[in-house]
Amino acid sequence: MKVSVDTVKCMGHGQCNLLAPRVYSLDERGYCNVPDAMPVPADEEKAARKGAEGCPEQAIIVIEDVG
Amino acid sequence: MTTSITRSPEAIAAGLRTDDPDFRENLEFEVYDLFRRELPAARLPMEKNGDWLFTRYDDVRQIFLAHETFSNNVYRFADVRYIPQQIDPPEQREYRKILEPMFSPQNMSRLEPDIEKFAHELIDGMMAAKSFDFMDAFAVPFPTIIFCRLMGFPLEDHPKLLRWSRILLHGRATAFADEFGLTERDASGRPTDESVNRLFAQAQQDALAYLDGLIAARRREPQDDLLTQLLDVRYEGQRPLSHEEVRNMSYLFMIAGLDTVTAALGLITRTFAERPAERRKLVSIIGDKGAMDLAVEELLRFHASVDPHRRAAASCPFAGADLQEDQIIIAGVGSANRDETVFERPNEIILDRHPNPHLTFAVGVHRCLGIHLARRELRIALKAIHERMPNYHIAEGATPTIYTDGMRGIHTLPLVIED
Repeated sequence: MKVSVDTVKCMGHGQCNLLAPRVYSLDERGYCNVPDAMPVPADEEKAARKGAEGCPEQAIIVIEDVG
Repeated sequence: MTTSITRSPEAIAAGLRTDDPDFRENLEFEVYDLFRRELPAARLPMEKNGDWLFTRYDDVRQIFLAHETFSNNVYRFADVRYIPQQIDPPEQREYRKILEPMFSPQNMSRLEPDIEKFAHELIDGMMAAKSFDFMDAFAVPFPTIIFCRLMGFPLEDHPKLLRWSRILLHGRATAFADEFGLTERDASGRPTDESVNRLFAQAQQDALAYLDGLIAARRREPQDDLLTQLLDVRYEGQRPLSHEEVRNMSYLFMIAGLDTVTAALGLITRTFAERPAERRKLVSIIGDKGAMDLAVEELLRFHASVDPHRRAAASCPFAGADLQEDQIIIAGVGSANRDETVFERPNEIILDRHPNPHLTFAVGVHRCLGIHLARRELRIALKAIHERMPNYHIAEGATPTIYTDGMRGIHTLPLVIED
């Protein structure tokens, strides 16, 4: 599983970081700061999904592995 | 829910005033349920705060996201413009770049020990008194003093700041008329517009003069506070902020920072005082930070205090309304947060609700700058209160009073701690 953040949509609510602090780090303004299509460790997948669902701007895209 | 509304939505909209106490206390959410179904764009000819009220989640969200159509420069001819709240992009973006690091989650987390200590000091006072007005004893001083410390406003000045911010936000509210010394009333018992306008003008003049003095003092003698930081930052990485810019930012912070957490704490605590079963659910999770974070979001969804305003930048059709340029639009966050197409069982408090895309802090470019402070204040306050005084009720024979203006909030909340 991978996650991507639409940096145009992200407004720094910080909900992703609150729900999944080990997946979504924040920059000094409090905006989500993850590389494009960042791989998520297996034991963080549930938290990563929760963090994406919790984004008020719907700025996080979860890319599930195929097959 | 049994409905007590028999009039048509059009008839209700024709007479609706959000400062009507009966509407706020008894009818508000029932009216919104009806409006969402049958009149999602409601023209409000009697309302003082705006021309249109939008109540559906998708429409309110769209109003926030379409910042070019729905300008935040609401009062075009106001003599003081709040920075950055009443500024549109692209200037707004530059101001936010300066301010967001100051209010970042990382920086706000550093305040947590102070916030906690202060919550406990106020709880000491409530536990000694046993019977008190929760607004005076906790909800008003708690965010005010934290904010004064953060900004660098001298603590002993907080009664003055509080008076100005309350006048500027609630000058029209009948509930506050005695506090503000407003004796002239109109036929409906509300303070007259003339007397409120005089009060506004004086409070604004006094507050601005006070900020002028304080900013000049920080220029001479820098301190470790936000006011001093504002004098050091660079707009677009180049020029320092002008005196007027620093003043108008501080002015906004004073108004926005002192009142919103107070309103939330009042609304939430009243609900818990009236619903012991709900309160016990909160008490059972106060030791779990993750659960408390979700609970705070749910309580913010349930008790949004502000329905923000926008101005139609041009005439345009929107959500069934024929908007005219410069009409004022009320983004009905209180209603959107209970939209049944987005939130299951919207009129229930579900402390572990997830996802919870409430609009209390708005979305888009103007999302509330103070969210990270507000969330921490609420989580810490609710935890400390329910750890130490888990059982309380509204004093017998007493009735809480509400703001009765464009905002949701509690004016007095007489509480008794149970042994």
